Amino acid sequence: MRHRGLETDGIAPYLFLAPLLVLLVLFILYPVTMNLLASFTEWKGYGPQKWIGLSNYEKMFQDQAFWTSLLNTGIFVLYIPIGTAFTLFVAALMRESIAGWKTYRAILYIPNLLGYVIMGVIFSIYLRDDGILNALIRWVTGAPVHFLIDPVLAVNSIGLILVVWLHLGFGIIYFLAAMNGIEKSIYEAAIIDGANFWKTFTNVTVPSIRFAVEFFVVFNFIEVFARMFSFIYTLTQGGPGYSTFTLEYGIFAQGFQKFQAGYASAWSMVLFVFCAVISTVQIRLMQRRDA
Amino acid sequence: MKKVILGLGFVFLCTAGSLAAQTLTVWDFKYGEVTGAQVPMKQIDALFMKANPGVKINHVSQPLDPQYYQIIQSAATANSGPDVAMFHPGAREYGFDDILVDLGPHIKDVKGQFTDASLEMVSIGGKLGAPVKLLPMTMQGFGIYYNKEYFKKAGLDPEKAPKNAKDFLAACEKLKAAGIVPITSGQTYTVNFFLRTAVANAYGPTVPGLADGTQKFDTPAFRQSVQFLKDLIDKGYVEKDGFSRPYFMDGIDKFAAGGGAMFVGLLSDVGNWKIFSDKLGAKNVGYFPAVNFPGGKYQDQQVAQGAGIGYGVMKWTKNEKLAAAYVKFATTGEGAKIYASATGALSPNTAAGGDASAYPVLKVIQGYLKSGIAKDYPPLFYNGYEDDSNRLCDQLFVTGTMTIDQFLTEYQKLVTKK
Repeated sequence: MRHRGLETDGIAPYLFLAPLLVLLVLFILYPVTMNLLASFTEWKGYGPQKWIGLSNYEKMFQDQAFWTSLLNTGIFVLYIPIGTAFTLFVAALMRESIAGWKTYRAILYIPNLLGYVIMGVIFSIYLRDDGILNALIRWVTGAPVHFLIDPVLAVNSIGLILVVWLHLGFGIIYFLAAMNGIEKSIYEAAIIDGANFWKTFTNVTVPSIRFAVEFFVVFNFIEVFARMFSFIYTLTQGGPGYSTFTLEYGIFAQGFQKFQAGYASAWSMVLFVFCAVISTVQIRLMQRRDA
Repeated sequence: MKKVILGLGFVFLCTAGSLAAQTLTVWDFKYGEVTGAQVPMKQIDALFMKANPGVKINHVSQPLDPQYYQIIQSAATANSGPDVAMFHPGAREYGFDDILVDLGPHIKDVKGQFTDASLEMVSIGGKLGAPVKLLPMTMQGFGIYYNKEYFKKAGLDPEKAPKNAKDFLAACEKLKAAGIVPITSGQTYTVNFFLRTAVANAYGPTVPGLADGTQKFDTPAFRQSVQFLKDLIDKGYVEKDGFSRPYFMDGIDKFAAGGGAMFVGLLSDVGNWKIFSDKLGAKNVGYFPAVNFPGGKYQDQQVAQGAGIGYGVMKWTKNEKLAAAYVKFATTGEGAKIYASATGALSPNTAAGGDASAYPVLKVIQGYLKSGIAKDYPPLFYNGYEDDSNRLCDQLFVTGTMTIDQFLTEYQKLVTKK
């Protein structure tokens, strides 16, 4: 096997790579390194930094809010298989060309266009005890459901809305595109063999788009770990108590409410490790596909 | 000669241009209240510009909590930003003392106009004699407002405030029986503000001891007040729907619109005596500073912050003298009077006064302020204390995931948390 290197390939490949490498160093490597260094300091986010060694990490591991944030993130992770299975199922239903499926697809995609901040504000109004949804529930049952003030309901409401419902529109479009790549003859053969919708779904559709499903799962993991902040901030602000408090919210609270940027950096390193693991898994999956 | 004249003309134009372009940038989290604080602020700016020809005030509205201090933090990182900025005195101000100018040399002539309580609060560390980094526009406090008409409907004496625990409970029972919401609420702030009034009743002048360790949140009086509030919620006297509704401004607006009989409100800024009197009728609003508990040594104590909001001058300004002049202008003399009369804010400037003739409830408040003030405790602690304590309050009063004993232990722990 020929080893690649400067002597064999010349300088040209490195010159082509240079702009991207510069960007990666500037916007990824430098901030991550600075964050790592900041996590060993006492720092307000501006002004001088005081080196305090591992104190921020010791404090973090003794902080109940940190463990609660991990637990809550874990709860949201549990919604990923539910959301993925449900999205796959709805996409498969739509693939069957049920009447009006293009309209349903468009309607289900609308939340993705609005963004998490707007959706968070909308749901904070809908889900209030004196909100429109509870007006309906009161009319039917006579009592409200405390979506935002019952800790179990609050965390599960967010899981259901964000991980399942808000990703539904994107997931459907993504899975439909993947399903379009499946040979029609495979479906025809399955039908001739007497397979019903469910058997076709489990034995043909899902295995054929396995890589799309894997990507969707990884995408959901990244969303849960690193992109829920704006939704939680506008909906519950991590409350009631710490019941919807996540790693991301903790970074915000320590860094921008208490101005303990050094301590927030320690929380950020934990988030970084989680995201690095997820990205590594994704890269491995992609390599397996390319193999 | 022609060249010399042209050169001199050019220099003159450049100099004149730089003089005319003297702009003072002010950042403010109250300026966004278009029909509220912005009205007097615009008047103050206009008067200042009239008194200082060639100066332009660029008054910028910034969002309040929690973004405002993040924006200040970003400005500090860049070492660039406004010339003047609004701050909450106390922990917030002390946390940013390294980017605020010591106003001492600029305010020698007006310092005597401010109450000692306000000067103490705007001095770093809350210590009189330490550098003063803000001049206060308002003083702040919390207390219980009530709707006299609803009291009358429920068979209560509207002129007699239910100031002790027994009377308060009886009033809640009667109001509920009459189909009136006894206490209108908004998120956890209703609980938070009630506890602040309760601490005044339990600790009175010894409140600063909670910060220096000579007092603790373990007294029978404080426990009584916590238990009492929990009972009020459990019995349905505090409107539970309100816990998922923002206090600012939905909770305030609900009480102002006649949505309940009592409300734990503020003395200045918003949710105050003026707003409620203007909406519910000046003679229809009653007030008392706290519920007096049997174990509470300090009856009728008014919890108060000597300073509620104030202006400071940023260290990076190139116009320190002019910026300090603006701060003085807005907080003393005509400026202070305009702001106080338009917003209902209580001014810590003794020369600004406050006319209670049109608002009977203001007279009641002024009476309590004269008779006994207890310091408000959250500003004594750290940046973010209010958020931490609100989360604890949620766990006891809203979600019920904590016992009173656990709450008291954790509440005490917060004091030393950083």
